Amino acid sequence: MSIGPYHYLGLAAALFAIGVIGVVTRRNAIGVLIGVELMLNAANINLVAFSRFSGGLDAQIFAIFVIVIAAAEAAVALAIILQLFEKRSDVDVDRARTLRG
Amino acid sequence: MQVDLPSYVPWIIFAPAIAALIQHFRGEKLPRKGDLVVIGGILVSAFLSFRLMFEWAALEPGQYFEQTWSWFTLAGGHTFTMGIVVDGLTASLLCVVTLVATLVFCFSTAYMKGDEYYHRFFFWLSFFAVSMLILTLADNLLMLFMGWELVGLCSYKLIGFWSKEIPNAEAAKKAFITTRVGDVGMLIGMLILYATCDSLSIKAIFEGVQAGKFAGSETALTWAGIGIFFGAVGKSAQFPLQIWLPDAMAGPTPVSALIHAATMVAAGVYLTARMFPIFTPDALGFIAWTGGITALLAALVAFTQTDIKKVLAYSTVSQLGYMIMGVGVGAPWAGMFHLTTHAMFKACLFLGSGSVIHAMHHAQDLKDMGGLAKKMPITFATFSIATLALAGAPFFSGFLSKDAILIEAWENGHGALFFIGLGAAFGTAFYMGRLVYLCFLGKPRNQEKYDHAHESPWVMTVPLIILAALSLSVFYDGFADKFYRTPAYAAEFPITETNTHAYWTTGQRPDDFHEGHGPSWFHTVAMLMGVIGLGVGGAIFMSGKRNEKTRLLPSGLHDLAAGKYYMDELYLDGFVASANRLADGCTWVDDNIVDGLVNTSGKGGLVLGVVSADADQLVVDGAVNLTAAATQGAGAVASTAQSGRVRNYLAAALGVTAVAVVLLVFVIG
Amino acid sequence: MGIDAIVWWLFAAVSVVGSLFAVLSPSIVRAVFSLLLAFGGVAGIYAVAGADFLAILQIVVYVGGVLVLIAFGILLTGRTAQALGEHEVKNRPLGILIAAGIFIGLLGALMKSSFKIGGNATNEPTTEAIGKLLLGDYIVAFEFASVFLLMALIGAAYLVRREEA
Repeated sequence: MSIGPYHYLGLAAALFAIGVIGVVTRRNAIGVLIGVELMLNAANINLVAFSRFSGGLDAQIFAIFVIVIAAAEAAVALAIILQLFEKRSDVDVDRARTLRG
Repeated sequence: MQVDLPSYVPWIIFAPAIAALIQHFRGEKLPRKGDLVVIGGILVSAFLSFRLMFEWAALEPGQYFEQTWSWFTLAGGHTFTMGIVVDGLTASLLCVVTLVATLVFCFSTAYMKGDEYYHRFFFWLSFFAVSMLILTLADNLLMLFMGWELVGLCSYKLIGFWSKEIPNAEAAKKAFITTRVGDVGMLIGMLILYATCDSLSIKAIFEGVQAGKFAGSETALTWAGIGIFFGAVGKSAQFPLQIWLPDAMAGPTPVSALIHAATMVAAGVYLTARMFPIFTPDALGFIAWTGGITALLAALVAFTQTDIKKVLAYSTVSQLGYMIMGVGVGAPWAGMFHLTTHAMFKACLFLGSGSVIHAMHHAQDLKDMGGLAKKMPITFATFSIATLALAGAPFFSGFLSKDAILIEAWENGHGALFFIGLGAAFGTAFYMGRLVYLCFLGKPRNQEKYDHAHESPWVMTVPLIILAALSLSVFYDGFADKFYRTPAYAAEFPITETNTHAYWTTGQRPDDFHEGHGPSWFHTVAMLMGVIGLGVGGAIFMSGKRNEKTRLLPSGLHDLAAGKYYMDELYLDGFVASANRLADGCTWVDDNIVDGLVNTSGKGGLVLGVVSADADQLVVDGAVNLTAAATQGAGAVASTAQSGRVRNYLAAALGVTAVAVVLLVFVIG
Repeated sequence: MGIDAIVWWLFAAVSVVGSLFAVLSPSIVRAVFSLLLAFGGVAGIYAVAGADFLAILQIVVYVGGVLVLIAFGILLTGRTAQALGEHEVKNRPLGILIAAGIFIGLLGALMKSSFKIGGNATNEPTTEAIGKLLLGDYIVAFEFASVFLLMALIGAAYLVRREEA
């Protein structure tokens, strides 16, 4: 059985779901970030799959932009985490509760 | 006939837009806080508008400028265009808007001097000009609607400009929400038209109606027309949504002059005139009666008001009713004509009242005034000229346009509306006589304020003089014929079955047209109405026994009118109170039932955790965690237990997403 | 099963296992190293799919950039990373439930849809073509991306500055 689009998309769905686990269950802000990176990667796999099975390269361009944004997002997120650490000397997202109403 | 648009036309919008941008970002730091930039922007716009008007006037009758650009396309090939159309309606309204705006901007430099947020005031003024120009130039309903909502936003920000005072903020909110009610109607009308004609371009809609797309469903066309008209009811403060306009006088007076007298509130009249060919006779009847009733009711309220701006506000509502009535009786040209003349003299009246208020150090009540003519001769003279125009005295502009509406009402068989209009005309003259006497003549009623009063600086009086000059009838000779008789598309779409006056849609006079003289006694009566009304309105105070508190109407009617027909109370008790009750009910359910559930299950989890402390750690942990998770999930969804933990919010959002995806795929799909 | 398919399944397994460890491991340091594995696996998938440029990019940006950043983050916030210890992970059943729901939903949607295959990409190098596209058709987006990166750079630098007293 040769590898078709379903395989890629299934793999992407799996990675996305795993990323969700990380985002929901981690208390460490860096752990949450790891989950988000996994979800972004899953999206990229979809794009690559579409590029492969449509014969065009445009989807790969989008994937490149996703990588660019992921990189920027990681940088900004880590800056926020460091600032959080500076202020409260921990990176526990559950203790940052200023949104509480 | 369509002619290509001159290339400078977009700059009519761009010039004030650039000024607004500069003012927004740099305004506070510029010299004079940037007011010169804004005035420069509107001057460019005014110059180009007048140039465009003359260029349009040089065209053959029936020709108009139009240009469209494709804007965006929806799936299924529904293309939306944006475009500019310039016909007599547009050209004259452009000139009115830019001219009045220029004068009001100049006036504001003195009136708002020293205000903390001076620069922001000018930003919103400029932004208003941009929005109003978009609305005016649009050749499709979508763009028009965008401008429509933007002017609403500017109106909201400017009414509530001094929002530190709660009543001002309340007035702004009231204006915004009330007009929004009308806008929903307009949106419904637009959707009906779009569903049938598959386009929001005005030309395409006319084509569709002419091609009989509504054949067999004239009711739908009637409702589309009434829906569109409802937008005008909100914006032009027609009965029953007129309640917001008098409150809107909480804004600075130049704003009242520009937005709530001359331009924005007239947008509703412009819209009904522009869309005139789609109105069925039923819709037109509805429009005419709405206008007539508004004109009369608002005139009566004006009898009872003691605040100088409130009198003028009700007068505006009344005059807008007149214009709407003009459109409704099948003579949009007359309505538009009255819009133009009214814009000039009403802006003059409002700026005049602003001059008085400025002189009286922000006292607005008539009880503090009287005898100001000696102190403020220029203001008094210009105010009187504008009053004569509003009252419809001969040789002043209001006489021409008001006559036109009344004659058309008579000619088109609306006898009852003719007499209502005549009554309202008398009322108008009467309360204006009262206003002028109480404000400028007689003895000063507040000696201290009177002693401090002074004539305003020249930047305020020059706009007054210009506007007063434009209230003379000599400027309007043949004006209506030139500008309003042959609007764009009229020659191309003679939709004669759906409207009553072929003259409008074809530009051809029907054979039985009587050259607009009406009954032979008409002019005499109309003239007398204005002059006698003014005279009586002023003379009854001459003896000095009566003052602003004197009841001029029969007692019951006075109470009714002074209470503004109790419509505020009706709306407050009816709509607002029921909404509040509904909200209270929801809060009760939230507090007692949802919270109860959440708390109970939380406590249950706690008890379980304590009791089985020695039991298998894994199982209990799982159970407690599950209970807690369920509690948190339910809490987050009900948005009662706001833990502040972003992660829980995220979990809730993702959980709902998961459920939605599963449902979509396996149950619904 | 051809050699391509075997390699594909291998990389897929690597990325799934790596990412599972990355989210489930109680130690944040181990999680980061598992993430390295997952990124590597995804890069391999790209390579098998004929997206060689993307595969390299994945290694350079994710492994070389993002991962190093995250490692630095752990380094700088080190004390608490250990202090959290076994309490690091919370609400795992709920998380797995949600993830399972999303996964099953996505798979269901996948099964119900059909894809038209427009042509297989050949295994030719894509770098040149991508370069031409990026500096041709997508030049505006490309420029915006540069500005965006600059903004992120400035923003991040601004965020971590020390408050002056």
